[in-house]
Amino acid sequence: MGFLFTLPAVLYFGVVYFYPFLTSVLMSFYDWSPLGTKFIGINAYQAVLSDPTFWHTVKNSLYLMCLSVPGTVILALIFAVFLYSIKSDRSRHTFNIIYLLPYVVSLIAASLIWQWLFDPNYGVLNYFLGLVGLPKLGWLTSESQVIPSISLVNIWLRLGFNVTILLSGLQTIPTDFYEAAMIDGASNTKIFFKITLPLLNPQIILVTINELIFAAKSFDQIYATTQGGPANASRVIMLYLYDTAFKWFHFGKASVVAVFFCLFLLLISIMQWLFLRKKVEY
Amino acid sequence: MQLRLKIQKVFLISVVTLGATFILFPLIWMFLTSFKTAPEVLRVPLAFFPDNFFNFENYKNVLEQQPFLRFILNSMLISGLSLVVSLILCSMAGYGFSKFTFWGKEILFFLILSFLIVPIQSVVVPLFNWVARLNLIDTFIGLSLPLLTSAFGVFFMRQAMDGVPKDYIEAARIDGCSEIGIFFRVVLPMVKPALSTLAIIKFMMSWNEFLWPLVSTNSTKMKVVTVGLYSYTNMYFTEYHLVTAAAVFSLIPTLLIFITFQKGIIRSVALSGIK
Repeated sequence: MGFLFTLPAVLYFGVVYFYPFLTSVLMSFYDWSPLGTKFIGINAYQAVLSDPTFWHTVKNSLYLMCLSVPGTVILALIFAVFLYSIKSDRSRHTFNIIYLLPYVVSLIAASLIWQWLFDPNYGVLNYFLGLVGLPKLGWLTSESQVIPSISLVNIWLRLGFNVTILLSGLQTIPTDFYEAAMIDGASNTKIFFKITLPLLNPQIILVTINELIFAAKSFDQIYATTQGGPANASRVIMLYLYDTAFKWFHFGKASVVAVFFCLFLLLISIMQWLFLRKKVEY
Repeated sequence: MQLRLKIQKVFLISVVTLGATFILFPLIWMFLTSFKTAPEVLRVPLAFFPDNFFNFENYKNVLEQQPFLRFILNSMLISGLSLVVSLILCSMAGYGFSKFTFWGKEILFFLILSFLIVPIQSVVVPLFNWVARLNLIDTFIGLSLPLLTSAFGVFFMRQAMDGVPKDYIEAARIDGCSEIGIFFRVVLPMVKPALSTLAIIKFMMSWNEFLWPLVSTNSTKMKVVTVGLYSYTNMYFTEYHLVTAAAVFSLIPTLLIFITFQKGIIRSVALSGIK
């Protein structure tokens, strides 16, 4: 009987997700394009692994992740702790809402807004830099600055989300711990590093993994603004997949990239599962 | 001692306000720019406020150049459909997984959950071919297909159903209520908060989808807000006064929902962090 209740959802996933996923895996072994399909087996994977563009893409993605994730997590932690210290419930709620506003904005709209802020000639950011006597930056138009700029957008987008999660985590820590520690004469910093942080560990790990996955999947922001440029400096893995499939119609090759991407995310998720299993003892 | 506390308080408020400014500034700047005319946008030195706050020219242009209202309608239909179907399918599945035992239950649950990890990007290519072959490109069905249910929804509803005491269900069964009756009249009302949380999450996620709508629509009248915004900016690449007006348009509905359901949204975001 219970099976019947789950059936619609199970059927849905089977048809809409599982079947295409299996097809994706199978098709990765074929040279699949509008010209026809031809089985080439492992060579398909070799072809991708030996493509320097692929590795360039992976490097860009990793760079983006290395900037976005620590930035978001550390800032979110700082703001969560500060929000926690606010006594007034209403003020805290108001600030939380403000931080969450980017949740409302689609990735596309956010990227466009930031592209305007980043405009080298007329954008506000360069205007402010000019005011304090610093040189104007290229931001999205500069090969070396484009990925840091997109990381900034990512941080802006995700900060509120993670502050909320970390804040609610902080709120579930019983205050007895803090009281006991203060009676024992511990300083605020010591309390933070020896009590708060370890107890918040599950949420911190969750947030980190979430951000790793989000940064790895980055597509909308880049497609709407730089399209991988300048000079492939922002070509990340999802953009590479999209172009391979929908611009150059190499569906087989795209499937290989999709499988690799999936394995990569699986790796991250397994790490999350392993870390979270160690439950914190009260 | 008093002074130290005061300084701490000032420091606290400053940092938090700094964060709020960082978040708000791009949004406010977008809003201000949408009321400027082309020469105002390019003015050097920069002008913060538009000359005329009631300059709706840009908004008029947006509506004239692209059927933005149609885009909003499409997005609403897709998100609404996704919401309704998700609620039904996820709550049913959550109920089944939570309150019953059957062969293969955990395996199936695990399989569905694994799609939390598999990104939609990995299935986009074959899904696209599949949908194209069925002639569902540029249709509402094709557009909304991958959005109808989420693995997160099933997981979330199972957790919610876990909180429903078995006694109520047993009692209803003894009273002779049909299984479907039990589901709709006993169980569902008890998980209303979870349902509303899921509804909000699903709606906002569907609204902000980009890749799949991009791939599954070609004609202008079937585009959703995200894709419409993108194609609009393609035409007016550096005309930021127009681009920002379009962006403002695209976020009015979600902003309204956000303001209305603030508390619920905070709760749903916080809950999504609890495993």
